[in-house]
Amino acid sequence: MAHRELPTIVRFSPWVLLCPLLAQAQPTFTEDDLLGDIPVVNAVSQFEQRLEQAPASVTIISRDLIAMSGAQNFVDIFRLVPGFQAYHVGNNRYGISYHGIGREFPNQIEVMVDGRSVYETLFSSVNWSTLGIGLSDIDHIEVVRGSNAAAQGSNAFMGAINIVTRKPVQDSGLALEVTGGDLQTRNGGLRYSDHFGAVDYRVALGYESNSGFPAVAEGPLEDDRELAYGNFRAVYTPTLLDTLDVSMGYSRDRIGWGDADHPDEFTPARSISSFQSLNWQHTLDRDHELQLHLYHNKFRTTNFDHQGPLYGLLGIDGDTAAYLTAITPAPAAVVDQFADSTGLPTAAAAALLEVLTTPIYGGFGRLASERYDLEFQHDFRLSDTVRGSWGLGGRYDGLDAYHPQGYSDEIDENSYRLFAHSEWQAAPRLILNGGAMVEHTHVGTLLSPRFSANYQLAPRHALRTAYARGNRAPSLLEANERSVAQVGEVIFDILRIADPDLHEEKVTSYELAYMYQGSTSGLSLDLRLFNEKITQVIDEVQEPVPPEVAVFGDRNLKRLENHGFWQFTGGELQLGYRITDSTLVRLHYTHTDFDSEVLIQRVPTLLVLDKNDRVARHSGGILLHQALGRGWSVSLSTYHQSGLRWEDGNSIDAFTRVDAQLAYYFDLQGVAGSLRLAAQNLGSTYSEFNDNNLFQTRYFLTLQLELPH
Amino acid sequence: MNGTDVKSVWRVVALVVMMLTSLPAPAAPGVHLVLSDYTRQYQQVAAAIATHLDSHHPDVEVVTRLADESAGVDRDDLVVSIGTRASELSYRRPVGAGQLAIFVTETGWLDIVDRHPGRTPKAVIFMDQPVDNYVALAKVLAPEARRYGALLGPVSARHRQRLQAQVAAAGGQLVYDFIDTHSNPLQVLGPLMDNADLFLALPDQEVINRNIAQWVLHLGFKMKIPVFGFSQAYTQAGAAASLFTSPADISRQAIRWLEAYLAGGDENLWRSHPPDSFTIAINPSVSRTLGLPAMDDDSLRRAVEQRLGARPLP
Repeated sequence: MAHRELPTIVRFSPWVLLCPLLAQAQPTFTEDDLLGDIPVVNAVSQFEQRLEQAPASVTIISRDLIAMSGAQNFVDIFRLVPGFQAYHVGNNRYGISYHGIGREFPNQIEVMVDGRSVYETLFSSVNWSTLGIGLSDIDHIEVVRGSNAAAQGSNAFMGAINIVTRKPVQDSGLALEVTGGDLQTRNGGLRYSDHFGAVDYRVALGYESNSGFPAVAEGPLEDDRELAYGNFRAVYTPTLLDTLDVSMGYSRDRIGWGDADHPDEFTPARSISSFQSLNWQHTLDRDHELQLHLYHNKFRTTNFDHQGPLYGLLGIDGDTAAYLTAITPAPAAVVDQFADSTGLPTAAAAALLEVLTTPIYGGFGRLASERYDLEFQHDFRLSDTVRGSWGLGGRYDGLDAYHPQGYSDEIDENSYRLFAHSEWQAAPRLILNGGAMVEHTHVGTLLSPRFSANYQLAPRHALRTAYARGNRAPSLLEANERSVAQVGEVIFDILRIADPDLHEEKVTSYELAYMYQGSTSGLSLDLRLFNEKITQVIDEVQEPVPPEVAVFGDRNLKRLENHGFWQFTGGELQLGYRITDSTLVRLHYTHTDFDSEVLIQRVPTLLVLDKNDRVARHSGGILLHQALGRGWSVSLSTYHQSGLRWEDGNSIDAFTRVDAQLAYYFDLQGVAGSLRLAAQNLGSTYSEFNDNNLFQTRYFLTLQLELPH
Repeated sequence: MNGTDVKSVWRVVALVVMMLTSLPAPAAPGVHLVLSDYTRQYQQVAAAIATHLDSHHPDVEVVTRLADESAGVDRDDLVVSIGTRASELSYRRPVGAGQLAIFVTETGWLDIVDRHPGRTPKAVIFMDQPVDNYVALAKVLAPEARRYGALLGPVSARHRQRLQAQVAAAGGQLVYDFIDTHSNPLQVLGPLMDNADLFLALPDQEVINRNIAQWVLHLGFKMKIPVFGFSQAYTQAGAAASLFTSPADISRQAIRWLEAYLAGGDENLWRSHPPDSFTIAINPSVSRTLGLPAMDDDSLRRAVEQRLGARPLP
């Protein structure tokens, strides 16, 4: 009998009949369900990976570690991370970078709060004081040491930080915290967590004030601060497969702004910042998850230092000024007389006479920025050995800068990005990671790839080798830099301008890392050897101001250009060891060799130097924590940094700082809390970033109470 | 029969005896280790079994292959399928002397059996731990706890009655609720964990496990109640301790089964076998924070085995 093919409809009909039965069938449950991953870290590759599987070195700073260390601010926190430069530009202005050279505004690291970038285009950096969160809002911090441009884009050129704040569900009731101490420190915080119907929420308010670094011989350093902030976060889980996370925040800051080399030139800078963020996560099935993140940042800062009318700055008294400006336009005889007395060219003298009574302001003026960002991400698992993520996003950055004697600009940019990452378990002990970010920016399309191989030498021992390339597009500020000294229509000095051909910096990074993660022993070890070379560095080149502008004699301007290279080689060590149930030791050390070539000027003579002294050759610290029983604990920590010359500061000698903390944790009839006495720098005074930033011994007392409802 | 005939007969007998004694001994049966894929856990189990057979039964030919790969399975060979996929493929193509399925769940195996009638003898060693063991773990680490919390999904709901009985036998009360993908996890978990002294995170479908874990762990930390999980991953994510069947547990039990099989075996082998051992992973940091007894993994395992009345394994 010939074999007949059944018509399609007939072939499929048994399945149609079976559908109702299938719908009522027992849910499948295999070994994959028992062995499935439980979510952990996600800052490095955009999807959850164990630290030993990640393509870069990651340091996790937990809430407990922050409390143990006695940290009072972000500088104290990031001094716990190997490879980081963390310093006080002013007492309340922080410079935090990974493998940086000590700039006033470090610009090669991405900083995020719950995945929302807080990199500020106004400063090409992060304004740590206006994040809208306090240390007590932090759950943990994920720090990627090494270029993370492949995952986070241009700003994550040398590394990335993600500050993860507390979810509403993690706390309940009212919590209060007050801190008092040296430098007239008065900090307070209030946090309340609860749920309203199906929505869990958390509200936090905070206030911080201090008087800044102590006075020096030349006078007081008015780098004090007064900060108020508030934030709100709500989480709604309509189904097991959906999570909606909404957050918003506001901060208002007044800070003394200036250069410690000139204590008498500090002026107040007032800032207001706000953010709103909406994050939706949806699980499609066991192998697919989607995420949509929309956020908005807004920042405004003003810093005006009224210095009086222009004639006063020129050394002219009021009566003379009145005479010179009595007739407009000034007669030729008056112009000639003015030119003779000031030594200015006639044309310049005539122009200045017209604006002689204009009020002059110092400071950086009024700056405002705004960002909208929308990103979509898809996490997937193709098989038991292959998984990854891909996504795309768009960003709008707007910048508004005004200074009556400088600039008046409104600039904006739209940028787009596409990224993808994958992890392949190529062999039982070998995991390969690959990924890249493609960004469409104002300087063109940039590609940042990364590849790594993670090999498990033995249980708990892992080896990683990685290669990454990154690009950092110049920020809006850098690309449009044009700082001039202008009064009316008269430009009489050019301070800083951007080269019209300014383009991206490039980094090529190689690393070899070893990790050990003990279980019951409590020992963890992370050793990283690195070689990172940055080319096309965006840096300043000095050149003479054009004669027609150099009203007050020969002056130089700074032109932002791409030139030279920076190369960092060295090693980082991070060790944690829980010696006993009550004793913890944490150690980190970094050795860095820095080689560089920098173009200083072309005219009148070509001058190429290096900046090899801008990086501390050695830095590191030890933290020892001992629980004493009955709620008491003590911590002792030390931090050492070898001498260096800060790029935008002074040459600072090597220093070793010893901190200590005594803490008492209590629970009184349901009211839990702690009383912590922290002492910073128990040794001799040292200087931070600038000779006049004197860090003396400081004491802080913090009381924390939790009142659950 | 004359003398010549007798001599001829004896010559034939002698020849036959010589032939029989010179024939090679009958070949020992081969063992095919069939893996679902090359993930690490399957490889660990296969390697442990292969190493044992090589050293203790060098006459047994061991073939290790993927389920997709074809290989000649002789009539006397035994197929050891590792994982659900390999077990299903081997079940659908019954060859050899029989099949031992390991690294499978009871639900996954019954699903295979329902869909594919088999002919050759089947044995299976399940990896899902009975709820008794989770309750015993909780009782050892939190002996004062009275209210045992649990969230029951589509799979774990089947064990509710037994779980209630075990918790009651431990002197406690089960506080539970049900959840599926349409539930609001925080609305369900919040009140549940608020009324519990500890929480048993029972295994269910992966999509439920993954999406509920973060809320379970967050709420556990907030309410300072220990969460007991079902996998190494759960402990690493923040559970105080987890109880599970490790690849080493599976391979040890499979080796004991194979030893019995190669020794001649009996009908008792050809049935389903629950796991006869388990592994425990403690999270020292979480346990310390919650004030649980300071024990290492092995000490805790022995304590749980004692409570269960099982003979401690070496």
